[in-house]
Amino acid sequence: MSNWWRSNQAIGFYLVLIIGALFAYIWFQPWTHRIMRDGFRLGMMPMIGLGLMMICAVAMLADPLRRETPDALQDARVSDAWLPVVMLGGIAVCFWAMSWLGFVLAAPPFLLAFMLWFGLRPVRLAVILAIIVPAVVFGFFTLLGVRLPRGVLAGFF
Amino acid sequence: MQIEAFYDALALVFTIETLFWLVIGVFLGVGLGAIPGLTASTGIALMLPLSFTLDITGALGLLIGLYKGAVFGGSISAISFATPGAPDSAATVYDGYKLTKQGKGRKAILTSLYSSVTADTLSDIVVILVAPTIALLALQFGPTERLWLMVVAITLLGTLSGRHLAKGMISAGIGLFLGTIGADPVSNVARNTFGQSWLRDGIHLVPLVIGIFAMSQMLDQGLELLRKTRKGQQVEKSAKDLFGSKSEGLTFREYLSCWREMGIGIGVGTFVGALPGLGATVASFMSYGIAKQAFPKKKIGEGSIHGIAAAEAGNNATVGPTLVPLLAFGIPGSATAALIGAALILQGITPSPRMFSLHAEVIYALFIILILGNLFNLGIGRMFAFLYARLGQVPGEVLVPIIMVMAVIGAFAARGDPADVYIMLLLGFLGFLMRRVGIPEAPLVITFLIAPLLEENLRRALLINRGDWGGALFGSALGLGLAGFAVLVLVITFRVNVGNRLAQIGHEEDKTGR
Repeated sequence: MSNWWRSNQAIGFYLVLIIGALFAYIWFQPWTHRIMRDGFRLGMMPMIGLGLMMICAVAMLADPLRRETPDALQDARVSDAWLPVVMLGGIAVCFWAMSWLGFVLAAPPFLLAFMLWFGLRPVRLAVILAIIVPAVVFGFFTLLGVRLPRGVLAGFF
Repeated sequence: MQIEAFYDALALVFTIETLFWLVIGVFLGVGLGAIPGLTASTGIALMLPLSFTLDITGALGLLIGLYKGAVFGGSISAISFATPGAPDSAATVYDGYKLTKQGKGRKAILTSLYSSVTADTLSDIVVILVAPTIALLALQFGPTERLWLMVVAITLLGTLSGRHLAKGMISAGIGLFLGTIGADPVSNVARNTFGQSWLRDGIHLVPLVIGIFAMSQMLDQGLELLRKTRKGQQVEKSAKDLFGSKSEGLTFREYLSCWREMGIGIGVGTFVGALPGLGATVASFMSYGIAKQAFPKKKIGEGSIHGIAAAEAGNNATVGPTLVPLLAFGIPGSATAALIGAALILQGITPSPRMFSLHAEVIYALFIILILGNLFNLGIGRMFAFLYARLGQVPGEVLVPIIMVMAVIGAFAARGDPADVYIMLLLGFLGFLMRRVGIPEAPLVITFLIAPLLEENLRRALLINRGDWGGALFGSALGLGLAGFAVLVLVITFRVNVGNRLAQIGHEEDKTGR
């Protein structure tokens, strides 16, 4: 029972709660019940999508695979939930920095930090790669005519 | 055959630009395939924004070349390090790695290359012969039939994409829900935008595919790196074996001796590839399993080139046929076909049976690219396969951050809209959660693409039948038959647990083969 929270049945239970909340939110939106000129209800397709998910989530509570635990959750830890969020946060910060520093200046610190965080050694190699890769990528995309954010360096290119 | 359109296609394909992008596609594809953890879908998702800047044949050359290259490339690391570049090369490990340990790595890689190219070419010819005929039939379909055909495709995808029926269908439901965000396709009225004006245009395809296929995978691999559980690092790396001048090559006689196994691979791969939802992994394991059962004297599983030929012919034979549902019905049958369909849509061409008459030159160009791609795959594979083997040794610590940056650039470069990057990151997290709980991603992306077509056809059927739901849904015998088939697929899959059995094919081989 201690591992129930990782089982398919538990996943079905979480999904029922999430989909139920989403269903209620959509149901109470004024556009959901608006009838279009062709007689079609505007909210029908989103509700079909949610309905399909709800049926399947409920099925997961009782189907023959309900006691199984998905492979990736067998040895899942709490850090598995927040580490990806930290990674995404780092990427978001990098992109935000790109808008005013430009790609060439914002990407190297991100690459260096992530390469070192993931365990790349020696540090010298990580530094070299973090400088070379963004320069090559920037050159490649510029050649193709794709404009990457230039930020404070806009006057130089 | 429209001769004029064919000549136009020749003129479109045989330009320096198209041939250059085809070569680049195959070159990148083999490399991507050779790197464990990177699949054809990831590569195509990352290259999709780049395809905007190219003309239609350049874009097709890049993406199809990449797809073909990646499916073969997966076998390189499977043979060199017992670490398949992608799941569809897992069956190649059993014989390929054993041959490498015997100092016959070169022979194994050449067997893989030749059987891949042979199977790919022959299955492409089947596609060229079959797709126009099916499209001609599909032209007779009205909105009701098209609606039910899409329901059948979604059902097949949901039920066959993984071992858990409910999870496959949840993925399809998520795709359907996400596909309805933004303006509705008929009256252009905003809906499901959660009050956010930037969602008025809906979720763009590029951030969706990059988020679901590339970013989610990188989050997964990043997490693995942080936990240091990479099994690949425990495998003895022996790329030197492949470069040794003493290493045995493959004789023509040996290649010919694999014709039965290649035949099995071509048959199974072509059939499985054309069916929505199954894909190259199932084809590869099925043909490997059949060949092993059929020819016990060939000692498949003990380091035999015949095992490699069966597995590699099986997975490469799915490449062309996976485009059949897309070209004939406008419904992608796999994630990769969905991405190629997306590239066509982004170039202003909607995949449908009418494409054969409206854009015949593009169809012929696609057929020529399919065949040419195999020649380039053969040339590039022959020249560089042994160098690509070293790519499998590039550490994830370097690759993962670089691909994360590429994903950001890809999502941004498509429309230059910063919102797309944040949507991509959110969808990357959704994809990561789906991977963790075992929900397949392919039905989501395909249903997302189908959603507007589904709604359009339903509403058109309702208009034709003056709002009568019974007539709109069950007004034709074919529509009724397709609806019955969809229900039958669901019932059979649930009763017999087909998805579970297909998933077991790989696991059983895993137990006996290694």
